Amino acid sequence: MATQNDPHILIVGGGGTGGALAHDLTLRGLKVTLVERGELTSGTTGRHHGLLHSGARYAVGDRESAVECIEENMILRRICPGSFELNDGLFVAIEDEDMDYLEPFIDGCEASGIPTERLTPSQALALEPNLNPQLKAAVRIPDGTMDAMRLPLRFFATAAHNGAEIHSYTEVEELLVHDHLVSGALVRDRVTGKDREIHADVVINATGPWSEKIAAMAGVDVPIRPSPGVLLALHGRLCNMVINRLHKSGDGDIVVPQRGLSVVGTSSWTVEDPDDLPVPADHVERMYTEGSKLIPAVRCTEFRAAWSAARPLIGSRGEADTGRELSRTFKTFDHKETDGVEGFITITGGKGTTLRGMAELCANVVCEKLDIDEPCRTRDTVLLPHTAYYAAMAA
Amino acid sequence: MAVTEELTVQKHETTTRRLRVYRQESGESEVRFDEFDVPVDGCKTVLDALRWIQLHGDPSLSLRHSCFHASCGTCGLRVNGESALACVCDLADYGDDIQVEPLANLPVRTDVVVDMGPFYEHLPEPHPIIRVSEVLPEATVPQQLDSYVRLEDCIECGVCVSACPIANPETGFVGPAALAAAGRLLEEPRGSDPEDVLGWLATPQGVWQCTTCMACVQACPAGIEHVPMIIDMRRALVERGEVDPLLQQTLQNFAAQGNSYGRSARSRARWTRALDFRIPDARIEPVEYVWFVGDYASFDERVQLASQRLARILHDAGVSFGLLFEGERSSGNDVRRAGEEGLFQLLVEQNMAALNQARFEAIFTTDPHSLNTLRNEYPDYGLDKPVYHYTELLVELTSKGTLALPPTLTGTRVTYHDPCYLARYNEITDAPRRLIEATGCELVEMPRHGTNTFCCGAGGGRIWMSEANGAERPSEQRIREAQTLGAIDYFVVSCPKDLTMYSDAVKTVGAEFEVVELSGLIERALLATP
Repeated sequence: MATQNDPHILIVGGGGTGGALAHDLTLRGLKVTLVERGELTSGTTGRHHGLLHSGARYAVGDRESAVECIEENMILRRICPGSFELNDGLFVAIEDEDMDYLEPFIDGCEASGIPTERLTPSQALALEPNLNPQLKAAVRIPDGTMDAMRLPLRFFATAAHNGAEIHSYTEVEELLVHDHLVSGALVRDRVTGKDREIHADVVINATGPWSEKIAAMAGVDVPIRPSPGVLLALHGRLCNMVINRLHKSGDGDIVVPQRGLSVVGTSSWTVEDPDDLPVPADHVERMYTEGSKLIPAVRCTEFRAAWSAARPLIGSRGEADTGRELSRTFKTFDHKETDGVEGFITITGGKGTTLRGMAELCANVVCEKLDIDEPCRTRDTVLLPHTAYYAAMAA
Repeated sequence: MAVTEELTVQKHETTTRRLRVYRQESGESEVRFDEFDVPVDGCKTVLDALRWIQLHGDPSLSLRHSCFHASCGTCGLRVNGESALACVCDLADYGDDIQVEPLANLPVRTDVVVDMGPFYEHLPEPHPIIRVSEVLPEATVPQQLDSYVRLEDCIECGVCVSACPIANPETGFVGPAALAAAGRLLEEPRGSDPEDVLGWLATPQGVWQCTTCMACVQACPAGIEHVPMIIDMRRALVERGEVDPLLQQTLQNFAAQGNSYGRSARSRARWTRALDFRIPDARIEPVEYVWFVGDYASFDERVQLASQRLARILHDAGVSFGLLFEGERSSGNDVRRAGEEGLFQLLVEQNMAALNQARFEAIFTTDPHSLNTLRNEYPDYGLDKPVYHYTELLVELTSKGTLALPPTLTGTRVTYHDPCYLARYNEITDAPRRLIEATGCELVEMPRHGTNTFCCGAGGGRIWMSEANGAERPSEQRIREAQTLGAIDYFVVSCPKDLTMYSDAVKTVGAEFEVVELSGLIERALLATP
């Protein structure tokens, strides 16, 4: 448990990254305060399709992300027992040209450390009877399903239990910047309406697609593109495994079972403002069209919801149009090194599955800056259940 | 005979909606409603509209949300009084004016944001989110997967607690979600001890508090059926003899005499002696309708008057109807819901024996609870005749011209309380309203009406159980709700239990209006000079 004299870290952003970081830093003995302007996971984290990535989606084009995913996938299974539907996933070839992707896919998975099993169409249909019966081949990989909010809540729960202060509905109004040094933030408690200053040795910007906005308060730039995607939820569970299209990453190439729903995702484009995300009707239609190629019943299953979520992809403006070209990896920016601003770090990019790994990387940078010699302990610390978050908040 | 409910959901074509949004500062008791005109273009759901207000109207508005597809359970609130998830409330299903309030029965942090802490405090431990799956019906479970797993259905949104008439902080009732979670633990213990779970269920804040009103099931965005699970858990407790003493006494009355009052079965039709005509015994003479009277309408003195009135109305209209006399037993609807399945089976057997002796075309009943089991459950035991509520029968008689209802009560202002077992269970909401309108009365609706009615607190056997503590009864809350309508003359009911519950509640609350059975209103209309 941290004491008064331990370095104080202020984390801005209550998504998966912020939660995992609060957990990691708390385990390393630092004093941690986290602020989130709304409910925890209300930004990008809570809106993803609930996929525990095997990494197979990135095995061909984005090896770095693929390796991160499979490593974190296996770690999360260990530290978050009871949080995942571990029914594996299938990559399914539907059209002849999909078969061209089969060998590079298997090779890429192998090179990334992702176990694969080739299935014949009849084997795949025995596993998932709602699959398109025209499928040409399928590959089984260790995808899983999670609750996009309750998995990160376990990090928040454990961090809070270990002494981290978590403040939802607390919005950063300004960063406290003097002479190229960030020393905290002026925050508004949206519940009480009161402003207060929180002083910290290091402020970490973990706001995902909002990173640019927070970074701008310290006068620095981060190369983040908010890249939204549209997702479609259908009322009815059409599969038990995660069903992916065996081809290059594209729109509507995944169906994820989630409780009694089936979630079809996703599209990809880039926007300026991650707060104001439209849900274009043609994108929703594309989810139906492409999703029904994987599972024909997608077309005739009752609509539940359609929404957009903004990924925080790393890439400069003008570098990408759709966001598909950008890597799903994550990156820590120590603004002392990139911009000459001390006491301020941005951690961004990444995915729901890699939240712990992102936190480890960022916490390493923090410890190095503060000259603290504490190893990461999150790989082997089993997390408290999500309900412990509410118990910790009540205490 | 068919009384069809007309769904009047209008798809609105206007370009904006006016949202009235509940605003409250933390710790302040002052509540205000702010109004915002939200463009429909770009906003599909109530959550979209609230997000629009945050972005373009008032950034100080606080909201809870996360997944936007009814999977996380954070955006629960009340939309026009109905508890729901804002992310799946389609704006097209509402009118131009939409009122948004925080969930009920949970403390408000600020604006429409509630503190979910008390909700989680009530959940039994452990509270796993993974379960062994029901697989797709057509699936062949492959050998290499022992069993699929899936996430539990409950998304811990608190919508059921908000919809529940009992689960407020005063009663301490653990609420539908916690009971459903306990039910899941009994099905799949996952490390828990079923004995502990049953012990927890039997506590005064546990499974006996439920009135089986069905509000939770109807509000649940995840399709959880709390009420059948609650009844199953009650059965388990009844089998172990863990029953409220008052309820135990009533159940013994049923076993001995077939009614909750413990009166002699032979005295069931004694209320007919006050009539100046004879009602046939349907077991002896063929009739068009058997009137299944039910316990309250047979034995309660106040309700007997209503029974006599209805008998006169039907007699005067020349309707062919008879009774089962001492052959009638309690229908067993609430006995079953109290968890006494064996006793329910016995009552069904006795009633079916009497019905099998009778010659008739259809049944009508004055009791919504009896209607429910006769219509929906007795067919499993061989009943093959249609079953109607008496309000449906009267509407049929008026439309055929058999009964002429003169609109003589103009200038009378009334409200109508929908009984759960009519409105929620059987979607009978239109027939009573048509009768009220036919009398000439002005009907003023309470905020919660129709299939979103509010329970009187008597259902599911609650009327036979000890009251937990001094918390305000649901019937008293309901009378206060009626008091917000301005001056009304009558609070109209169409359920014998409602007549007793609300007659008492009106006295406790000290309301100015009178509680009348709908048959009483009709009698007044018939007696009044046009």
